[in-house]
Parts: sequence; C-alpha cells; structure tokens
Amino acid sequence: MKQILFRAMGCQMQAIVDAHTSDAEEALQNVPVWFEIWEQCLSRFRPTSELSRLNAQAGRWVGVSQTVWAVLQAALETAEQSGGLVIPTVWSAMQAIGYTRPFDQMIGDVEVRMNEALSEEPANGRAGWRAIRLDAANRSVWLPPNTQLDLGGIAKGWCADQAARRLSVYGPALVDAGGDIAVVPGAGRSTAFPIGIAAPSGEDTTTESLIGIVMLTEGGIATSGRDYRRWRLGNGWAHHIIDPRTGKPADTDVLIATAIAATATRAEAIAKTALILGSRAGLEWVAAQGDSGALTVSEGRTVACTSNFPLQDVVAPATRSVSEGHTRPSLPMHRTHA
Amino acid sequence: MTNAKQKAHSGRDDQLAHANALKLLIGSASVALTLAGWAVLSNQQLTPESAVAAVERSAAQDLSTSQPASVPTLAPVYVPDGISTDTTTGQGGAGDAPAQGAPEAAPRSELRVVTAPPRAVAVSRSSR
Repeated sequence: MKQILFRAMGCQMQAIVDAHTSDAEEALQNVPVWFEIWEQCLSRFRPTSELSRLNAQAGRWVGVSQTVWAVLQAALETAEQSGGLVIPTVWSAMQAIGYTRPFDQMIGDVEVRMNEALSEEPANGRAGWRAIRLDAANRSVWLPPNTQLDLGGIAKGWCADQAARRLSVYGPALVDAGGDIAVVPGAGRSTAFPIGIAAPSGEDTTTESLIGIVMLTEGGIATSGRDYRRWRLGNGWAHHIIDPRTGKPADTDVLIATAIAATATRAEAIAKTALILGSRAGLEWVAAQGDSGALTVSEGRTVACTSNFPLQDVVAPATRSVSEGHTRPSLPMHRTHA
Repeated sequence: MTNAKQKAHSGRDDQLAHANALKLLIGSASVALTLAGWAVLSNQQLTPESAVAAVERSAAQDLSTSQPASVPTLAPVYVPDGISTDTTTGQGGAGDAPAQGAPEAAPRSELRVVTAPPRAVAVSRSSR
C-alpha cells in the first residue's frame, strides 16, 4: 500500500491506496493539494475563503463554486435528516463561545474570553437554515440577513469522500480526514481496511487507546467528540458541538460518538446527531434511521452501540445484551502507544 | 484439533509443535479477519458475533489440517485474561507407555492461543 500523511483543516490527514503503481503514488501526492483547494472554499477561518465572502454578503444572491454548492446541499440535507440538530448556520454560536480560529491555534490559551456582544444574539440559527434559498440554474445562494454558515459539521467527511473516489481509479483507497474516514473499492478490487476506534482522549494526549477495530471495505466512519476540542470558558468548559436547540455546546453525557454509514459525510452527520442527543436517545435515533450504526462512549467510560455496529475486539469478544434496539458491550480498554 | 494433536505427538518436541500450530493459527486468523471484512452497511450487516465466529471457525479448520514441521521456538504471544484455547498435545492414547529406556515424556504444557488483532491502518477519533 501507498500512503501519504499531511495536515489540513487543522487536522492530521492520511490517504492510502492499495496499489503499487507509480500512478497511484503520484495521485497520492495530489491529495494535499485537493484539500488545500477545498479549504480555500470551505474554511470559515480564512477571511479570503469563498465561504467567508459568502457570509459577508448575507441578504444578497451570490454565485458559488461547485464545491460550496455541493457541500451546502449536503449540509441542508443533513439538517433535514437530523431534525435540525446538525445545521450549517451555527457560525454565530461558534463566535459566541470563542471558537473563532483553528483549534490548533487555540491550544495553549488558558481561557478564551466569551464574546459578550454575540452571546446576546439569538445565535442558534435553528430556524435560519430553512430560510436559505438556492438557485440551481445559476448555482447561487441567498443567506438570510444576519445568517452566516459554518460547514464544519460535514466538510471533512465530504472531502474524504471526494478524495477517496478520485483515488479509487488506482485501487481500493482510504482517506482519513482528521478521523472522518472514507473507504472505497477500486480498480475492480476491494480491501478490508482495519480501522481503529479511539477511546476518548484523556489528560495525557500523547497516548491513545483503542476501543476496538472495524474492518471496512466500503463506506464511511466518523467520530464526533467533546473530549479533545474543548476549552475553558468562564467557570466551565466549552466544546465545539453546538446544540441548535440552545445555541450552546451540547449538554450531553456522550464523550465520543462513532458512526458508520454509506459515506463519510453521512457518518459525520450521524455521529454529531448521536452526540447531541445523548447516548440513549442518540443510539435509538441511529437505530431508527436504518442506514447506519453508531457507538458511544459516555462519562464513566460506558460503551454502548447499536446492534449492527461491526466492532471487532479480537482480543476479547464483547459481552452483549440486546436492550431496546441497542446493545451494551462490555469492552476492556486497551492501552496502545500511537 | 484432534489430528493436530495426534501428529504433534509423533515423538517430536512438544514445544516446537505448539509454536508451529500457533504460527499457522495467527496467519489463518489474519486471513479470516480480512474475509470477514465489512461491506456496505446497507447491503451486508456483519455482526460482531458473526465476525468473531468466522475467525474462530477458520482458525479451527486451518489448525486441523496443519502439517507440523520443525520451526524455531516463537517468542511468547500476549494472551489476555479470559481468552484461551487449550491445545495441549496430550501424551497419547490410553495404554500408551514410554518405550523402555526412552526419556520421560515432557510435562504437559498448556498453550493458550490467541488471535492477534489486526493492526489498524487508520484511527477514527474526534478531531485533533
């Protein structure tokens, strides 16, 4: 297999092609370029990005690129399917909690000062996303006044899907966009890629434990969590998963939620929804979707998952009991060094 | 398993026979894990139980047809608590006795066999 590692969108990225040709290796060298181009379109942190320019023109029709068009459509579909829990109009809420720059630039800040002016605004954007208008003939977007977009809820999954599909010409491929992973067959073959599921990050972020392994030949797997991207805000902690019902970081018992679906885009949306809803309601919601599976780790390190989640812990089989549509495996925590 | 025990009991060193069986088991388990890979979720639901069962079935089948050979002693394999497969070779059928003048049979040893987990090529984690 050929592999490339790089950083983009504030995360560690990886792309793998199960092939041994020079073409495959050359294609892998293009992956960081693709991500840079997508980041120039989709980043809310870059003032010159296409998204930032769109956000600055709320209340006016604005022509957009195919990338922004495609991701925005996926984001609106996600908003509908999640019942308004994973929405693209949380930009103001992010500003209000201090998430105003890439997280790797925020590390080291002891405290982030809350933007009190924005905190007084109805920043949840919950109703705003339905008011977004699209003109497919001209590929134009109209944002309601005082509405800005944050596509971070699905952008990495979408990019992983696109990159994997491009690489599939050369062979089975895996693209890992900061933990949101797309796997595709290619060149008439498929490869079962073993993918670890990380346990929630602890105080020591230099080591990582794996809950188990998933063998994936096609589809997407994504993890959403409040275990790492969190920071002190006032007297408490803030994290980056906004609950549109409150406009604030989700108040949930879930530390991490991992979802598997047909695409990384869908998996990312499922994982976020499950986290926002909480372990019990979230897993029940996922089970009701019928097209995905999910696993959650809650406070107290309780692991639960839907009955169809294909977790393999080949060191010790999980002890499972079926209860109301989801199972509660009893899994040991394996400490491995990254 | 029975054939492997019988073949391993053909007068050669028990430890070497066990090591060979272990190597075959780990190899076949790795293949079985690949075969038990996850397809598109909507088309093929692979439960963890069936995945683990597929590994165990494949491992058992391969072990029963293995051909013991002289191999170097392997380093100990990590065996987690609670997971073990007793593949003691036994000391022959009832009524067997060491030939006169032959060295005493090596003490019965308990080999715990474990399926080595596949090494993850990627890890799904919350964004870092």
